[in-house]
Amino acid sequence: MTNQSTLLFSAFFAMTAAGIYSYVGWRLGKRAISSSEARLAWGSFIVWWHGLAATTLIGGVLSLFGAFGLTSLPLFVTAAYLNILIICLALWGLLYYLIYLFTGNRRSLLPLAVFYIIYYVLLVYYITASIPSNVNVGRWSATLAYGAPLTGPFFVIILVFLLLPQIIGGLAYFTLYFRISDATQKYRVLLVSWSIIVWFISPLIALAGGLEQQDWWQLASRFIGLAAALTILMAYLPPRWLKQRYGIISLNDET
Amino acid sequence: MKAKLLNGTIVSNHQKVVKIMGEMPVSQTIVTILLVAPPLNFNSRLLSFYRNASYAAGGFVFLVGFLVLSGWLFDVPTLKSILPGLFTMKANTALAFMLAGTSLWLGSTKRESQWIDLLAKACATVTLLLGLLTLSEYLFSWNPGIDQFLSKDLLTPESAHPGRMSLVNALNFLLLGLSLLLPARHPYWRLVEVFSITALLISVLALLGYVYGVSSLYQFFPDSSIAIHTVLAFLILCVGILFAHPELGLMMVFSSDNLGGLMARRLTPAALVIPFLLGWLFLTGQRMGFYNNIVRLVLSTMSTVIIFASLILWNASLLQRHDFTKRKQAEDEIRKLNEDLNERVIERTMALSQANNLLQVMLDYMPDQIYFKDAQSRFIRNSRSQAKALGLSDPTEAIGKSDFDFFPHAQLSYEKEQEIIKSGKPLVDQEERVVWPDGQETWVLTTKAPLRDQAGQIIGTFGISRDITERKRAEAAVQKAKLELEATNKELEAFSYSVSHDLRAPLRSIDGFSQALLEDYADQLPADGQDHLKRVRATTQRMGQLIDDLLHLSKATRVSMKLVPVDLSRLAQDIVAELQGAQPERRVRSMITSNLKAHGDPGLLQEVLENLLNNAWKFTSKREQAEIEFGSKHENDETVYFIRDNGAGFDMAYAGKLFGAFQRLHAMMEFSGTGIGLAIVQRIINRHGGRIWAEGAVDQGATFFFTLPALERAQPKVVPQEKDSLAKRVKEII
Repeated sequence: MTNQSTLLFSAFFAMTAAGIYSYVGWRLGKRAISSSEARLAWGSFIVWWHGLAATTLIGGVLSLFGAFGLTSLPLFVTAAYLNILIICLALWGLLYYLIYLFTGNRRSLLPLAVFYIIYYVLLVYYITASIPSNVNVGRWSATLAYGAPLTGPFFVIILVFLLLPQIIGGLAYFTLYFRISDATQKYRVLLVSWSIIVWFISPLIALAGGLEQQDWWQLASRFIGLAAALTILMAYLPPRWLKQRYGIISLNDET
Repeated sequence: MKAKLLNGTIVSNHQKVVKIMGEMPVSQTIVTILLVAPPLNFNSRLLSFYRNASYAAGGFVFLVGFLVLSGWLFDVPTLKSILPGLFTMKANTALAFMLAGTSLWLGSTKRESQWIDLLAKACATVTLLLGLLTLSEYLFSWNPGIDQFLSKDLLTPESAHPGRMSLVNALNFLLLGLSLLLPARHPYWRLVEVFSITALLISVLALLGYVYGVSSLYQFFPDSSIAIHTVLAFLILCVGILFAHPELGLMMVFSSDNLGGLMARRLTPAALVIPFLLGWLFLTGQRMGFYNNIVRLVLSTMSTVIIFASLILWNASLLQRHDFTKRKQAEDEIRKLNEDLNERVIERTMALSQANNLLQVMLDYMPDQIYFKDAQSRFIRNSRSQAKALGLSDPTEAIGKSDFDFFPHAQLSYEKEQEIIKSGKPLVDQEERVVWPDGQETWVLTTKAPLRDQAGQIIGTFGISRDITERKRAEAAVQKAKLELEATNKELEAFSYSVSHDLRAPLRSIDGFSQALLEDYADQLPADGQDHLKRVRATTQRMGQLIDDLLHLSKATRVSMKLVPVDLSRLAQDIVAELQGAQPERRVRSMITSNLKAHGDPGLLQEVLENLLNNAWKFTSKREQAEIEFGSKHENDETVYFIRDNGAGFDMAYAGKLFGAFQRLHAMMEFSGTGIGLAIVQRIINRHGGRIWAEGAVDQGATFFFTLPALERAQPKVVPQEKDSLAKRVKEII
């Protein structure tokens, strides 16, 4: 396949995924939550989904631009700044949801916001200090090429802050599996926690194994993301046979 | 128009009035009807729409600012001026939009937080300062260095103040910054409207300039122009600010469900858009040479007259229809309200009458004495029983009188009632000694509480007194009997102590001298004599054992208990191991359920298990393969422990005698023992609040069951708070 066809495929895939993420967010947003505290946490979980949809969509649009040769550096830099802002917002939402669920502490909202604002500043610094010099149109994505990419501890810190809180949060979420007895709750915890863990751990594995540029990994990573979203959708809207066999309740059936 | 009810409720429509009236007393309902003027109905969907639009406007303006600022920082010309050749939005303007957008967005959030409010005000303040500083630059021709603070403006010549936002922008930011800063309430909202509408008009003027191609309208000075996206962002920001509080000021009209609101929503967009479009259309025609200035003016005027006349006629006919329908609806509603009101008055009157009858029946027939008193502790209503006790033939005779008219000790009662009136706290179940006017002395159990009117104000007291004289006498008798019983028990204890010690001494002498005779004079005693002495010794030893058991039984009921968790399984295992060690030749299959826990006194529970397992061991001694089982089961919400064996068993006809002291169901020769063990076991179990019983059959074994509810009492089930709240969270958001 030529670069254009893979980029088009990537753009199409990203837009489909963005649609699914957005649907998940919209569907979950329809759930009626009685207490205001829980509503805030649930809302932040929905922010994650919409944020994820937005950032995936931006990636898709950039791939599309790359496919058609629209590679204006300023445009890509602006997109990068916007993208990291959305990512920070989404991660803030996800982490707050996990922390509230696990600890019941709702005061973490403001400290988390401060943390992600600082993190955003760090990301902006990372992009700026790495001196974006060109737009690199690869086989699967169109990304910024940096004149002096920052490496070393700073890059590791950025990566750790990006992935580790979510992985720890996902694992903590999974431990709830052993503390609850209701079949539906167990089922949801199992599916949602492992979707989040796999989602965030897979890029780490790829990075460690040097798989990032492999075609198969590019495909696989996209499918992992999509599968994770579908799994979470299935967690809340289980298929009929699961409902009948294990007595699991769908979000639609909740009163 | 809104109407405020007596209880402070704002009435917004007739349905609410009906609903609220249903919860009010009749008198208040009538006042409400009089007070309710034609209400101003807010359309909740519209309110929500305006607020959401304001929220979106804040986000949009922020995004515009963000993109333009990015354009400046990364030099993207499209983001700075949209199209080549158009004026640029300056970096400072973009920043001010970001701040104003954030302030509007935060101000429109539904969450009430001091921090959010503070942040919104801070953003508005910086917006205002940016406008003010730039204005001062123009007015005083100075340069504090803010123009190119964010980004270098290489597009504007040095003479034209590069990077400086236009004078109009600065003025608009000053006005809008103030609008965002002022509190959203009367009377400040008028100022907010004035500032926002002024900024809106300036922006509309600039927009007209762009649309009509009149540069002087957007380029007010040679070096001070306003970019097209700046104009649009200002328009959206102004509208967003006005929409943020649709329940205030001018927006109230647009949010109302009344005819005025309907008219405003229909005509205002038309009034704003139609002349604008017509002007543009005819100006374009003129510029293309289709007609001259005069014709354009005539065409424009004609079209405006026709369109607006049509609009007015259309709306007038609509209003007429609406008015007719509304009037009919209003008449229907008033009729229905009147009917409802009448029904309610009848219902309430009947309900009051019924309640009064019920109260009267209670006051007439209740043996308890009931009274109601005013704030000066004067009777306002009494029960017949109390009137009788006061020596009156009819309860009405007591009205207006107080305790001082009947009791010599009325002062104390008066003080208590005044304290209730003052504090509002009731006195519940107070035991009082009362000396009645006829000299009779009784004890009463009294509850006194404040008497309140419908508004909740304390207007007196009411009380209920129950005669407990008989109960007090019975209690005194019980107390006396208890004291006597305790004295008797002490005497018995002293007696049993004395018996044990005084009887032991002669027994020891008899046994000792019998043994001496057997040892020292064995050769002089015939075989019969020796046998008799041996029998004497055996009997004295058995008597000694009986005295020991008797003391043991007495001790089991008196020794103080210390309740702690006890591992019954462990105790049983140790006891069985000891028994097996003493008789290693016996084949006994013991089945002890592990982890059987109880709460009780460890020493006493050990004694229970020792007695029961010893019995099981003893009564299975004739079995080739003995089996002893210790386990538990759950029955009727309690744990029942059992010890089962396959030994000699017993006849269920004698089950009642099993736990009596010195009761034996088997011959002494067959199975040894004093018959005291099960009596001790029963007393220990009873002291733990439990029960013991047995089931069995001759030669088919026996099972002893017992319960130890001390565990449940000592350890009430406490659901951990953390777990409970986790369960709640999990239920809600998983």
